[in-house]
Amino acid sequence: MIVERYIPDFLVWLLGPGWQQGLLFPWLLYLVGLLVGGGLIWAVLLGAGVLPGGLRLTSQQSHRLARIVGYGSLAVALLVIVLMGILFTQPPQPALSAQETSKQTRSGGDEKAAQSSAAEAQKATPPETGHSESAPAESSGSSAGLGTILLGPGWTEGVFYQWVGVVSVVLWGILLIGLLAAVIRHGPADGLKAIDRTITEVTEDLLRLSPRRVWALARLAIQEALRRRIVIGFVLFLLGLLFAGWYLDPGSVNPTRLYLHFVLTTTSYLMLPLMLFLSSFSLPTDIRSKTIHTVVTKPVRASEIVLGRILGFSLVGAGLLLLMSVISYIFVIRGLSHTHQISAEMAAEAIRQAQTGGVKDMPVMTSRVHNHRHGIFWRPSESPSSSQPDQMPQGTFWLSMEQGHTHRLTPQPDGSLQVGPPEGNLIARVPLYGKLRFLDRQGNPTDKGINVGEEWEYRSYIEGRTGAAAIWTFEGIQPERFPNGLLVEMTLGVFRSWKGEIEQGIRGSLSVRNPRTGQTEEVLLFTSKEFQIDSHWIPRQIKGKDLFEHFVDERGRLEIILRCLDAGQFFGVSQADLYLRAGDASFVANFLKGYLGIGLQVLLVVGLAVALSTFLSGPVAMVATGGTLLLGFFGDFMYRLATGKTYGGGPVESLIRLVTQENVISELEPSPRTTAAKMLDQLASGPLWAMSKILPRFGEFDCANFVADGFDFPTSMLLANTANALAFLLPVFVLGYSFLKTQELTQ
Amino acid sequence: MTQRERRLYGKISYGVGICICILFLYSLGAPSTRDSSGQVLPGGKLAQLRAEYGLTEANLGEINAAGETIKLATLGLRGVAVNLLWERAHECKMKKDWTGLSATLQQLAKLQPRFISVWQFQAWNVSYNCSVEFDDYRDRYRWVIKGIQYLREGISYNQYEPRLLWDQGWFTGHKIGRADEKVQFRRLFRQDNDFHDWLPLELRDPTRDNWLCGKKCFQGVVQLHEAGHKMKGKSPLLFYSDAPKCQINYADAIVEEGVFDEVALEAWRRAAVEWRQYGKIPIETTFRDPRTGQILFIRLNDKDDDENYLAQAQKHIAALEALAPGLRENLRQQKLAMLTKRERAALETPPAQRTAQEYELALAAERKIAVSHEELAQRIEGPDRPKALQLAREAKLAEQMADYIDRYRQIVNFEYWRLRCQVEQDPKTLQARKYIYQADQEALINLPKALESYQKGFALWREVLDSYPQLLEDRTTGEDLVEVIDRYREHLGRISEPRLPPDFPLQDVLDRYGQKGS
Repeated sequence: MIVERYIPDFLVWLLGPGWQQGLLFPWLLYLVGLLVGGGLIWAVLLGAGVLPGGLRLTSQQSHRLARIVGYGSLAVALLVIVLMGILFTQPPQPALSAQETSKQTRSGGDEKAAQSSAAEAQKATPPETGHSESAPAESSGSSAGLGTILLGPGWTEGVFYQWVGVVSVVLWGILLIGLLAAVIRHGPADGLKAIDRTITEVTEDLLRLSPRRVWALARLAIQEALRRRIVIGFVLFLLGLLFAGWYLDPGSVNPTRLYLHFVLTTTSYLMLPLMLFLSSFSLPTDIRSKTIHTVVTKPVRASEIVLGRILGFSLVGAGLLLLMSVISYIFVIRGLSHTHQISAEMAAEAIRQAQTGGVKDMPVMTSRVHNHRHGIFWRPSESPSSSQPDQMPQGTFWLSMEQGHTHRLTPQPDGSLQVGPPEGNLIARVPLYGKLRFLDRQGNPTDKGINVGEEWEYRSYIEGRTGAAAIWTFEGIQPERFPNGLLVEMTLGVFRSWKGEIEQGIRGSLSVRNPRTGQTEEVLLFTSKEFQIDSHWIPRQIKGKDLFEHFVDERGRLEIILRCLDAGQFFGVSQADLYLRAGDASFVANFLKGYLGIGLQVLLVVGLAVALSTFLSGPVAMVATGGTLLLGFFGDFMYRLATGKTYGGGPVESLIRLVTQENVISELEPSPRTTAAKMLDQLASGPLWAMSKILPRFGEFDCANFVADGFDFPTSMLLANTANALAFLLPVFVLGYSFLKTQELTQ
Repeated sequence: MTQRERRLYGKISYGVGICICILFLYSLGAPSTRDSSGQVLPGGKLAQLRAEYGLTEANLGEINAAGETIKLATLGLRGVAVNLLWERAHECKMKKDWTGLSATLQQLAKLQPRFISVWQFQAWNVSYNCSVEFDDYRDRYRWVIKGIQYLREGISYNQYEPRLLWDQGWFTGHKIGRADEKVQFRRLFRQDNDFHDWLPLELRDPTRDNWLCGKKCFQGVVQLHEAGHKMKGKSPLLFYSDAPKCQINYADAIVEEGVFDEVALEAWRRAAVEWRQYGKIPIETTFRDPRTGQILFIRLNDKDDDENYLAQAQKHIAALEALAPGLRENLRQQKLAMLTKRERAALETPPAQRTAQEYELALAAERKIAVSHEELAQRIEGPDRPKALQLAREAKLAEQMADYIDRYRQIVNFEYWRLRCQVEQDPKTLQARKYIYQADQEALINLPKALESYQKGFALWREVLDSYPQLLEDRTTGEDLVEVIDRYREHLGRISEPRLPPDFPLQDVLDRYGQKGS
């Protein structure tokens, strides 16, 4: 599977690579967890009516509390801004600390790579690389200063801190603009009073949210959705599945991937516009038809109306998604289900082939179903059993892997074989990925392998029969986790610089190495298999030595070294091309994770559409949300556009090339037009960059690839996606609430 | 005019407008039908165009509902969708996402089923570019076949399009039979039951040889072309040669694989017959008859007939010169006298002794003193003049035709292949090849015996070359023999000096083609 981004641990992603070394951890974490968990439980219980009422405060007490919390929050935000100012205006330190390394990398464009490199810098590198063991203490005296001591080295990489920083700046920005407007409108004294009133009211509204009222409003939203025939979306989905057979070829290279991709993508393509339409028109229609009056005349807060809608529509979306996931699962299972026929003659021929020295080109094949056949293989059993028919030599039959699956075979009394349902296609491997580094032809450490001229630079190549090697460092290798040894799975690329032996694959070797002691042992010689998962066992005992005693260091680290053994030939590898299979997760759970990813996208769309519809008309809100959605899908492209990493220049330059049919590589002729275009692009790059950072990257919520390729979607990514969605929704909700509050009808 | 009248006239004008539109639409879109006598009525313009370009889906069962639905689903944005799919196909190929590529190609096909270039480009992409991405030769073979299957799908939408069938023939013949992995590919092709069962009956061959299967496709192309579905973008000279060339390649391939019995002889015999038949086909040229302005047709065999164009030309020239004996020479002498001193000197210098400048001058002088037939006829006065002019024209045309035939024969290397077919039927050639084949097989097992086989093979080759000295005029055979000699020398080097004996029978071949770049 293609994993182009490094997948960090959730807490590393959230709090930075060195969070564990911060003085405030783990106690701060426990405290936050307690507060959030407790608050949620309290809200749920309150909403469900288990707890009687909320806090009993008088109106004056409530105002006072709101003012304290409101101003307190502003003070904290200001403090954050000041700290950020100090941090970012400090001159850079000469020593290359962990977080500096990561910052430099980030300026290169890939934050996650930066995190990984920062994390890498923290960890002890093997002696072979020539790097010294970097100590986290080194960086404690550098730029981050107090932050590093309290929050750990590299804390600035934690997205939580980044989010707090951005929210603080935005909060104060809005406050200052509001203050200016109020002072101009009402004069200094009244303006300040108005701002004070707003801060207090907003804080009070947010603090005194009633889960019960929110739930009641959410139910109204659900009823509205049902009234608006939301079920049509489901019917469309069913229709889509009915006709999907026309387009989906169960005989394709990997039908499982095709089917899973189809159901997940169709769901996504159907649900997002549906929810967009539903949530964009809800509030504007109510306002236009004045039915909102029946709500606002009740004792409800504007914040509750917004939150109620978001919650209600999200629940409708969740319900639909759940239904769709069940139907999709049945569709996939039914679509892929098939069996083959193996007659007694075929079975006998397979045995004959095995007994006469194996197969050269084509083994005996099963019947053809779903545009494929499986090769039938046989090996004699080591301990003969009496269960098989007498006329047949005793042994085991198995089928070759085709289209990502195989079948179980059961010998029949008449000598034929009964073929079971497909196996091995609907799985969720749990991979343990390692960190990849390279050695060049001379055996010296290098950043990358050789580029053999491929347009896509995902894989780096190592040359055969030279010092070149690809080395993966794995962590968390414990005997309890891998009691029988390590199951290594590889998907290597092969590049031949000369024809070589056509009928012979390229040979390679795998060795294990202790990163601390350097003790190395070759454990496996293999012949490459391209474009399929090639599995090998590294046994617990290697030439009389225990794997964990001799090759895994005390920090649970192990290195696996890959070499190509044929001169002039190359192996291509990327970080995710070799992993340790740490068991299998439930496919159904993974399938649901795929739908959860779509659910998060739906949540974002609903939140944004409801917030925008508080001050825009239905169609405009829909277009605005749709635009945001579209831009969000192209967030990565926008970032590259803003940072000049695309071919053909910025938007204006690209437009010129489009009209004049210039290619994207050659420089434009120097002219006033070109200069003007470049200047405009320079101007546009700032907003583009900001948008790429602020808008949620919808594409990253999509985990269809993981599900379709048979890999467990990492929990850390799921948590990160959820946190991302919530982090975006919170300010969106506040925005929606603020606008609704200013509407005359809710006053 | 009252309000009511205005409304009435308005309605009438709308009605007339609608009727005109309906009539126009009917003239465009009326379907092709049959009258009571079973006569086909051509229908509207669109129906006629559909019939003309072979776009009609004759039976309801052939209508591709998926394609039609997907076209409708794009809501008129088919162009945009196609663009995106092409991009995606490229990205899938770049990222080696073969599942994605296959699915994208299917979608493209459903969106653009009549766009021949899509089928051609993507089938080529699959068979040639994607297949080489795989390291395992069996995977490579599968992807070559996938490309062919994609072409077949295209053919099912465009039955009367010879280009796709030609591509199928090319892929089947040349991709499988000329690749580095041709030994493995040809073997797998013969074993591929699924593929041969899937092929339409008219394209199956009992031998399951890729060249013969390819030949059937090329024969189909010729049939389509002759039925009026013109083969675009390819010269008839070339696509008429494809089928007989496949027979030659088949014969060549089986001999290379060690078949030296009657099967091989029969294959070469058949190749000779087919090549001869190819020479009899009237081939459309790019030249026009100066008298009528019509396109000229030639037959490659015409050069070898007793009454060939060159002989006709000579006959006409002789008749023309007989009308005014000595006039041509007189005219030539007059022109010679008008040459400059330097030109005359250059012309008088024997060609081998001319300098570069003299060579140029002599060439120009030759052109100046040449007397054309027309010039000669123009000088003839009296009652013979019309006859002379007629003879001059006919002589010129016959000479031109002979020249065209010569040029076309060179393009397809006509004479060489005809000779090859003849030589390969000679039992001596077959025996010589058998010795060389045996020697190659024995080289790693029994070297002395292998060397002996090589020597026998070379001796026989000497006899073959003596019998057919023209065979070495083309470098193909010469270079093939040099490769064999190199192998022999390599094996010789394993036991002694890799030096050839002084009386080595193929020394002349080595001298002629042994040097790289010679």
